[in-house]
Amino acid sequence: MTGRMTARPARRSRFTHYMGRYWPLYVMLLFPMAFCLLFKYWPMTGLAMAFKNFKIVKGIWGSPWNGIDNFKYLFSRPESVGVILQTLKLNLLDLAIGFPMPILLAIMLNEVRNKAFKRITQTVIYLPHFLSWVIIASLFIAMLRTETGMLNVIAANMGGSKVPYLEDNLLWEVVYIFIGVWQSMGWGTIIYLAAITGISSELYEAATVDGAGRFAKIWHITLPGIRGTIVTLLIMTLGRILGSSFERVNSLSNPYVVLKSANVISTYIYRVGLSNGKYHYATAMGLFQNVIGVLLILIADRTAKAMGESGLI
Amino acid sequence: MKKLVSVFLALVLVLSMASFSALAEDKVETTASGAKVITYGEQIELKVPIYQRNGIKDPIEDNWWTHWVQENFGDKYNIKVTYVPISRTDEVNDFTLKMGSADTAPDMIFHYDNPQLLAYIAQEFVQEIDEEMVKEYMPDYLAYVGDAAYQAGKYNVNGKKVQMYFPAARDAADNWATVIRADWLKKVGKEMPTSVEEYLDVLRAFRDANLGGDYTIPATMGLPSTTGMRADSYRTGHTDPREIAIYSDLQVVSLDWEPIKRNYKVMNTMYNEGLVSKDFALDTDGSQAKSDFVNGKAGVYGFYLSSNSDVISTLMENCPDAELAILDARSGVPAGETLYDYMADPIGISTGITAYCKHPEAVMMYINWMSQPEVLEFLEYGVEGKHHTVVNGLKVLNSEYDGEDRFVSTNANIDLFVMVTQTRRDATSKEAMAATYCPNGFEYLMDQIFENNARKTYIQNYRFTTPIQSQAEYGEDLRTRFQAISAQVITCPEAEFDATYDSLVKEYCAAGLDEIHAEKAAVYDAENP
Repeated sequence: MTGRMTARPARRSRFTHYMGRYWPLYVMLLFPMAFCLLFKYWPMTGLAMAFKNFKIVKGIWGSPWNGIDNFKYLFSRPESVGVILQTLKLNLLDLAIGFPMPILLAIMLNEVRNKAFKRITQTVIYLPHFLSWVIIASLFIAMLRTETGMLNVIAANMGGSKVPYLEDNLLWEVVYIFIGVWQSMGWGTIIYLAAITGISSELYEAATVDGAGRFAKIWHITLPGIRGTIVTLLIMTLGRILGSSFERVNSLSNPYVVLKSANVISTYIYRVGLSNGKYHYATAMGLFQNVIGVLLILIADRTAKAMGESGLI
Repeated sequence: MKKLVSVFLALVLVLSMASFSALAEDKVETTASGAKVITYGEQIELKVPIYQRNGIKDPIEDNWWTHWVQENFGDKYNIKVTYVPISRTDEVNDFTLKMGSADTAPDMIFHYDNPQLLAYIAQEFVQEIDEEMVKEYMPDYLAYVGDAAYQAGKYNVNGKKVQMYFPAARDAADNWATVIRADWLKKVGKEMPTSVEEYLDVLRAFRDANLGGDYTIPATMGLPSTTGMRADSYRTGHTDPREIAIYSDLQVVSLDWEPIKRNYKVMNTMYNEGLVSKDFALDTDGSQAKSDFVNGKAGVYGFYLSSNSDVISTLMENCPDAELAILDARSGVPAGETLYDYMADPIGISTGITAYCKHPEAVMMYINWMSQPEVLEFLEYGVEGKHHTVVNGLKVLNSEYDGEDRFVSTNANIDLFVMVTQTRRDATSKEAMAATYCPNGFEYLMDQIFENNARKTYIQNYRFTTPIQSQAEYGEDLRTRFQAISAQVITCPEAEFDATYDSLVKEYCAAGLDEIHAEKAAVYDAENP
């Protein structure tokens, strides 16, 4: 009993000490660890496929290695660069327009006085998040068709001309971004609203006493109060800058845009890799996309820390 | 001590369970028809693909009929039959994605068209079939489809001719119907067209008379599919067997072939003159075309006739005065040229055993069981008085029957027994086909289909037996490109057609078509020395 008081326990005995004392906690920790190993790390061994000429009969490990041939093949195809640029373009547009929207919306909702109105609005703007892209796409395609789409029929009846929203590549991109914002905007507000709730009400009271107006309070209290949240979400979004939702692009795609505006990495992987049974090309492209994603997250995180934010990692 | 005892007891329990299951052994028997069958000691799972179509009434993988198969086949041999739905409109993608892992891959894979069957071999999706086993396990199947059909499942793999697929039987029954509104023809005072020029004139008259209201669509047209874009009726002067073998293909469209370009030219004219829907390219599954036709907006529409299809019934509800006729097949051919048409292979769908399958004998037992006359008969026609009635000695399917054991799909149970046969055996004469495929009161359509077919000169595609590697490599990518090019060349202004077409096709050829043509030419010459 005296040992504990006098000498500092050696490293080894400290380990056994904690193990002996807190073993139920460590046992509990085993489950999430096993989960991570089994479902997050173990599947990554399949990435080996990116360096193999995969044949389903032989399985991942029985197939022959082929070095970086898969990458060479993918980047030797003339459209590869265009595909990467198009992915970047759509995602940057999404970031520029889609990222600030939930922040604006959250601030606006926060300023609403009428509780019932606020609740109902929140619920309604969450809804699109729960619709699958197939449903959303068929709704909008039916609405935006050139000949029989609702929007064009109304425009034509009012004497306007018909607009090929889905057939013109530029217009399709506008539609794509708009639908994306519409779908995710409401859901995105949840985190910001929670962050806003965390801001001390004393700050607002003090500002009121100092004669600050509504906009001054938003600018000087609300926005700085959720700055950390904004930075965290921005870092996470940057990690996905080369990724794009396959369902979103594919279900909105059509023959007019499939090789131009809608030709992004995810659909390219699907077309060249998966639907030709070339799973190794798909894996190679996916690996490339994710490595870039991780690099971007690291860079963004360092930048955030350099700017005095807490960062993510 | 107490803990130790309980651990010991648990161990004993686990071990005894393991040894019990090891005791159950497979039992081998022979059926009355001489087929070898195994009753598995330990239950195995057989994953059977089945087409999922639009407009099914019950889940295709779980309905009265699949339960019937489980009770009459699965339970008997201790096999759990699991049906895997495959999208009918996107089947190659669907199969290919499922083949990515042993968990999702079915035990069988099937397709109608030879080029895709070759691609599945090239991708090593299918395993070689042991012919000795076929003789043991499948006497009923062999007797039913006949030797000629069975031999069509042989392919050149690594220099050897081996059985890769089980072809199904198919009788020369054609239930495709391209119908025109006969009442519209009368209203504009035109005769049934007999050349493509006359046909365009009729469509122009439909358009000018606005017979379908504000949004009249003289003829329905969907985005061309690789199987549909064959340019059959523009082949005058292009019927040399070697040329057909290289250029005529159901999987990869030879856009650089003159008949194909001529066909697109006509489609371009139709688009620019407003004879087809401006939105045709967005209609990838044909649902818009169908809706336009059944709502009385469109003058021409093509579909598979079936007695319980809703096309004709819905049209008659919406437009009680509508009259239908089969469009004369000559209206696809330029005046003075020969009316060629595509001749389907004399076999039905071909089914292979996938590379993952561990019990090829179970696949054989399944197909053989389904080939037995009494099983097939029941799947084809169901029960008299419920699923069919007998009129003049012919079994006529009853499209109204709606009990819990109703037919699930608009083509009745074809998707269930498609691995064995494409056509119901009794339905090959004109009268029998009319009874099977035509809704009541529309039997005359079958007369007109037969009249039409009598005018045609058929060309059969060459059946390669050696896998075309480049086609397996580029096929799906070229299909996407083909769709994009189709949309562009059909919708470009008429004056720019040639320039647009030629520049797009150049790109398309470089993306793999040239390579495919060269390989096909070499393989053709090797197969036909």
